[in-house]
Amino acid sequence: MTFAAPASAPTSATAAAPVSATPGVWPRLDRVLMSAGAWMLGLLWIAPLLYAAWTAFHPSAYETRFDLLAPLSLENFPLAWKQAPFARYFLNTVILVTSILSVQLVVGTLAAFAFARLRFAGRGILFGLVLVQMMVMPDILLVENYRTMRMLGLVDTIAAIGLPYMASGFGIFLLRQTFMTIPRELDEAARIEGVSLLGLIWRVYVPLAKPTYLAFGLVSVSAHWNDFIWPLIVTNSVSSRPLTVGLSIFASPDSGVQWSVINAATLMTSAPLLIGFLLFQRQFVQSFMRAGIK
Amino acid sequence: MKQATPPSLSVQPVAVAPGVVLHDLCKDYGTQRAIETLGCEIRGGEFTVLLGPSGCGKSTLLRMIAGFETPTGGRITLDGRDITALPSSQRNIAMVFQNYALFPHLDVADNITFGLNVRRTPKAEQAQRLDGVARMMGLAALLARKPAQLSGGQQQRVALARAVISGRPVLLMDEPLSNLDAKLRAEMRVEIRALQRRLGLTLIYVTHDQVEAMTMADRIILLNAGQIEQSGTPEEIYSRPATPFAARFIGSPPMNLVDAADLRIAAPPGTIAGLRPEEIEIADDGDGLPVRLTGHEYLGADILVSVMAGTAATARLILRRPARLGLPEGPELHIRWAPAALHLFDPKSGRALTAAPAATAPGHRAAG
Ligand SMILES: Nc1ncnc2c1ncn2[C@@H]1O[C@H](COP(=O)(O)OP(=O)(O)OP(=O)(O)O)[C@@H](O)[C@H]1O
Ligand SMILES: [Mg+2]
Repeated sequence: MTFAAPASAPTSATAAAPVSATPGVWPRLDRVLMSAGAWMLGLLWIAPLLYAAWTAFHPSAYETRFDLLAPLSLENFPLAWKQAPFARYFLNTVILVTSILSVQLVVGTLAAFAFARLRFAGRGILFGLVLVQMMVMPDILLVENYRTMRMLGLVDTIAAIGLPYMASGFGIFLLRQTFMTIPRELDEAARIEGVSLLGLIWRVYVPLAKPTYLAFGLVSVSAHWNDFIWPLIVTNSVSSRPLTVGLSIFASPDSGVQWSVINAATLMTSAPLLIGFLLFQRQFVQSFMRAGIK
Repeated sequence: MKQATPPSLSVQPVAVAPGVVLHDLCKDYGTQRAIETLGCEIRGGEFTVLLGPSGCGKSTLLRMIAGFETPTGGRITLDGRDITALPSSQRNIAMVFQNYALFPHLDVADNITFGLNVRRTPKAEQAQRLDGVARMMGLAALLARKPAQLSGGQQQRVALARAVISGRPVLLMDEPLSNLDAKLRAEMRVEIRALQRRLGLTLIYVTHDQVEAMTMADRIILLNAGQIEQSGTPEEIYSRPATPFAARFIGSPPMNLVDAADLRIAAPPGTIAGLRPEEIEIADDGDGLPVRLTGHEYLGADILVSVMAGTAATARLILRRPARLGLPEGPELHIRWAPAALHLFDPKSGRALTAAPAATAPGHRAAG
């Protein structure tokens, strides 16, 4: 369809026309191209999901055959659920994600407040280090992190998966930026009434940074729900494996499981995030706008 | 609603509000000096206005009293107790901020009782005090709203309510009316003044608006470039300004300040002579200082007449006279003034010369 555009396009027609005629045409063409591009990207993004949904809801005979009239079926889901300990994986992932997020929020809030509003020696250098953390690809640290977990005797535990991420440089940075926009007068108005430092954070800073917390929470939860490489390396038993790793083992080619069942499992494991996002889409988008993450 | 009985005041008038004394206070920001070493007494139960142009250090001074800035030198005492090193929450003062500093996430009631909450006042007492203050400030119908749903004037009232519910005897305000429109400002001036009287508060009020200072203050402390230019009652500062700065800053239009020689006053060279516009009158009998009419401005009740005086006609004077008298016939006029109306400022020190020199100038009206 992109090839059809130049042929019917008004470009050749307007080339000879006076310049004043062009402004009306160019923006329109521009918009057409933009929305075509957006649609393509969107389709490209959703295609695997659509394929997964298609196969998951149809008998395995239709895995590679597209037929609108194919009979719908739900039997792939119980099949998948039975063939691997997904309940345990779910539990592991939920424990993992909530523990990471809650520690991140506590640590991030306290650190961000200190960087935003307290004066102490070495503040600039320390904040620089926090920023550096954001620039380092986590994958570079895989080996080093593994060694640390070995030293701590935590290999093959949920704690080992979460520990490296609990002090999030991104979270600290984001919250600090938000805290710095809170008017000093509010801070002073609370202080003159006699709030303690922790009371000040809890009563003034945290409530005013709610959109940032929401946005950061979404980023953190989806990142760690989907994280794969690190948990794959550091876990090797059912009791600590998160969903992603469990799913990949379940779906490995030599396991001989049918695609329709694998895709049912895939849908199941990503469903909570998808549903959550769809439900809270409005709030999330608003939070991102307000938190300044685009 | 019953309006017959006045609302019971749960905020009791303070018996004797404490005064604040500044001893040799100064403040540097880095190498820049914001407050020169100064001392003054702010009396208990009085309405004291810190007045001065932008950047003169009013807020800095107030924030040092509040405990938000640490003085570079000197001490602050409240009721004789040294509070220089105390955190602001222990100073027994309340404050109203310029932008009100209401907590956007709390409704009006929670905003007002924020401090009581922090200090764990029993809920029943909180409710009772909130009720009293809300009725006193006319906020009873707004208690469930968020600050964003209030008008500027209402927000101002909530900020005031939050400050007075604490029952603290000293109240600080930093330009609390600057965000309101002119009409509301005039209303709030009266209201704040009445509140201060009723509760007997020691109120320290920062403004750059001389009208606010004149209408509200028991005492004005006039600041300029980090120094106290003059302090006294509004009448004192208006009628006996200590410096040309004080003379120009208070009064609208400001006092005319010209070289004494231009008014034909015998004084050391460089002496500055000052005359308030309303103290100058036009001498219809042709007696007095000759001047040239250059313009006028009609204000309704009054008319401002601009004239030029002096040998080279370079000294501009503005005089105020009732509009019903009309514009004098120009362009050549004569003006005069009462000897007591003339202010002279020393050329070297810039301070007011206490005794006016003998009445030798032609402009002086024959007294008695
Ligand atoms: N935090 C600060 N750091 C450095 N300099 C400051 C700081 N706060 C104030 N100053 C300086 O101190 C001087 C006095 O400031 P201050 O805010 O007290 O003035 P002000 O009289 O309140 O003025 P305005 O009427 O504009 O509010 C100014 O020159 C200002 O630039
Ligand atoms: Mg100020």
